[in-house]
Amino acid sequence: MKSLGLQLKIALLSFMASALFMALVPQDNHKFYVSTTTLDYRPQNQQIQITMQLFIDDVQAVLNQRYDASLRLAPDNEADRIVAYLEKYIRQKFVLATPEQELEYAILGKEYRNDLVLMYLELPMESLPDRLIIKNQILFDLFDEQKNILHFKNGAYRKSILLTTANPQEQILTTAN
Amino acid sequence: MTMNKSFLLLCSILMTGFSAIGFAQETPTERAPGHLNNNKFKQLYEEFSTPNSYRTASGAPGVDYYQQQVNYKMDIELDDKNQKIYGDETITYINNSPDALEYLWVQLDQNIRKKDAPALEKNGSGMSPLAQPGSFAKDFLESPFDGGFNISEVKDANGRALKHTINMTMMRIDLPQPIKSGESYQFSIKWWYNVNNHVTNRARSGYEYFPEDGNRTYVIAQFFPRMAVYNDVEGWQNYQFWGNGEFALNFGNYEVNLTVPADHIVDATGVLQNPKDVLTRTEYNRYKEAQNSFDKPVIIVTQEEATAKESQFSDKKQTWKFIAENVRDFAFTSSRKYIWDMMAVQVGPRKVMAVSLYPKEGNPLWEEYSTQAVAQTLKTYSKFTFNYPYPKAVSVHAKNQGMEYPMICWNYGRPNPDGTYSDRTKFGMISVIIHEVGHNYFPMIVNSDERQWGWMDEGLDTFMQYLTEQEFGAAYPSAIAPLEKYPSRRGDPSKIVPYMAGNQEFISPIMSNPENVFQLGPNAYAKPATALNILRETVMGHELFDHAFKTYAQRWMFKHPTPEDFFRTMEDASAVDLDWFWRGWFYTTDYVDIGVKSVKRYYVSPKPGAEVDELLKGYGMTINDLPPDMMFMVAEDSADFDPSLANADPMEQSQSLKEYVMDNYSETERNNMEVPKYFYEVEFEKPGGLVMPLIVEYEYADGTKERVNYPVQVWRKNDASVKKVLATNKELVGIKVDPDAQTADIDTENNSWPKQESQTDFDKFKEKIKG
Repeated sequence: MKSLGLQLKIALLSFMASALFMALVPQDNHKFYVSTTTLDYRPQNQQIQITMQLFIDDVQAVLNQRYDASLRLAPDNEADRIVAYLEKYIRQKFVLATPEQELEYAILGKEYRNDLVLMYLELPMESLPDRLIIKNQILFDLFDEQKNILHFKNGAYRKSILLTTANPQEQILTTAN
Repeated sequence: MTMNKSFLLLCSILMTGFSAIGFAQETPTERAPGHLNNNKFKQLYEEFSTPNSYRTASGAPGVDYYQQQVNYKMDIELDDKNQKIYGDETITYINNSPDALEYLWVQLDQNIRKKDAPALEKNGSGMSPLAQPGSFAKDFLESPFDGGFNISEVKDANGRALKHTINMTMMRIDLPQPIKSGESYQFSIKWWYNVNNHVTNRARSGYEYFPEDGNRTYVIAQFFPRMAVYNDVEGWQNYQFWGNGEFALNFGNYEVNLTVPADHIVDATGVLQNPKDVLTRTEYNRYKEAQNSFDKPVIIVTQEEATAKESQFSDKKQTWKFIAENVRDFAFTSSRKYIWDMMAVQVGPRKVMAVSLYPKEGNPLWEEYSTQAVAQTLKTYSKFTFNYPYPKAVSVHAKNQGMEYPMICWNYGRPNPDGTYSDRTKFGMISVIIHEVGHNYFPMIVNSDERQWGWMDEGLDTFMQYLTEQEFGAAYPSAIAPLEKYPSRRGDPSKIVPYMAGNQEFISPIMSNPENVFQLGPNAYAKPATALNILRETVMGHELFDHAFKTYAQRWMFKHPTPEDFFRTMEDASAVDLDWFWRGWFYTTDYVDIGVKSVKRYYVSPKPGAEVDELLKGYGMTINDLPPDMMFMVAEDSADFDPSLANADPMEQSQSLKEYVMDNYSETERNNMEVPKYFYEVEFEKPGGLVMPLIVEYEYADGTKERVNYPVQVWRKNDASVKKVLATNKELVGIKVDPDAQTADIDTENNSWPKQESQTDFDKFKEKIKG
């Protein structure tokens, strides 16, 4: 497992740099930047099942700007390298960890629904740690108004957090006690 | 008539029911403190302003309702080479209020782009120990954009300078004498400002620069000093423009001369007065032809003609003259890059022109869908509100923005450079056009105060947008194929769930000022739109809702409504008490979570069970105190439950019931009587704060299903749970609360009995990839 400390620091610094890059200007009122991610702890499967909802246009824009301007997301017909870029991007921007170590998740795949792309991630979890660190900087490099909502579920216990460019990471308790 | 004590006690037992706590039981030693009225159905008297002669309790304008009128005559010049706008405007202010006004407030919205505008510092920021050189340069080396109004003159009608004071985006003009009620006052302002690039700083107004050909397309708005609103609820509405809270504006008439480079095509709020002077002969002939083309748009300036002009950069000027009546604002667009098409639309008794302007970068998408989307918007909105009263509606292509003005709006949606485009780009464009053209109704005509209440126009418009998108899909099936329904992004109850289930720290009630909410999109657009959709589909029904909504639109057409005027009208015109709905959905951040908690089957039993003894004991009674003809019910989980009761006829298990039926019903009546065999007590729970109608689907052993809508009032006396008895001839095998996801229930795990692990998207996807 990688050392989390240094990696997080670098990620945080690069985030600050990108936050600085964005000007504080009045916003156009008709486009809004929100993603929603559900983290569902399933003790019976010994895993956390993660479903990420992103707007397709936003994902396409970030892939175009970071990697390749010719990429087009399309349900039926799209370049294979989109998957590779998307995985690379998500692994870079979406980090789960305990206070001790970073956690490795698998990316199962994606599907399209109307104007959304749904990403499915799976995190093996033999025993649930008390605390979970969630960092989600997805699309923060594109929009300073981007807000990432995360819902953690463990049976009846729920914890929701809102991550913003000013607050890209939070530590949550995984149970009510 | 006298009654004995045990009879009264018996009555009270029967009335409160077995499950309720008997009040005659032991008196508690500790008394709970008193409390205010916390009922979810409490009247909204405290939240609502007191009705008066300006605004009635029914939600209509009162006998003394007034509004100011402001007329503008303006000469505007656009300097394309230096990106500056110059203006000379004469304002006629008509004081219809009962009050004498000693000063006037004028809005200087462009001042939000002053180098030292406080709005630039309204958000927090953090310092970074490392930075990319590009962003560092932009933030610390480049000088900020030099925007904002340069006011060169403020004069009265006789040319005398008027004393004026600028406070950020507001300018006070001190008058030599107060303007009395009924008087009018004329004055003029001369100004200029540097036009910003709206793409780089994502503004509502400005230009886009096209480096390939060196041209600009201008979408220009909030570009002249505009009178603030004075009215009975705000006095002067001079809440500063900080960027999120949009505009509060007066109705009036505009005469505007727009001087631009001679090779530009211009469109604007109002009717073009001199088409012959500004159009070529060919363009003019097409313009005339379009006025009677109801089936398809006529192209006034073709793509070929527009492209040919891109390298001209004419040094000559031309003046386009527009007159607009009874509008609250004026905006215009200008560029030599524009392709221009229009068609006529019959809206009720009038003919309206649906118009689009776009550079070649918008094609082939714009040519195909823009004007059609405008036409559909006019038709659907007119049906639900009032016939569109203006002579035209214009959709202008603008990168990355959607923004609305009277008769004209800016919309995004640009194909890829090779002309291909995705369905998302197409639907995004059609949706934004419907939304922005729809804003002609809210707030351009039903003129609410956007500075104070963003949802009054955005929420109502997003709701109407949803209805229009669905009608567009039905009217142009080929445009949405292979989908069967237009993929609306907002309006459907399930779509608001992630927001309403979110962290309460970052959610504000809808009744908040737009500057102070965390997420304006869900707050002012999606949540109110969904709330109205739920009102229409689930709470009120189409007939009552549509009548009330239309009444609101027609009452406040060309007037200035407040939130209460809307809330009151919706109740007044429908006789549906909605105080609980407004309170919950608009004044709080509560959410819907309703479920089924338990199901208990009961049997008619020939003898009383221990539960009866227990109950009577509490009242100091025994079974002998009861009248001889009582009936008894036993729950299946009770120790007294005898399995032989399971298949028994209830009538056979109670001698008293049998005798009562024999004595009180004729043979024919008895033959037609259905005796229920199954008795269930179902307990519903409500962990969520919002009260909503309880929509339940009961499923029986024979596969049939029954839908029951219990009114929202079931939650009046117990906000946490409610029990219902179901007496039926069929065995109950399943219960589903809100089976069609109509209420935006944020947690559906408690919605089923027996408990069902609802399949998540994740589960479904995993099954799919397993193959």
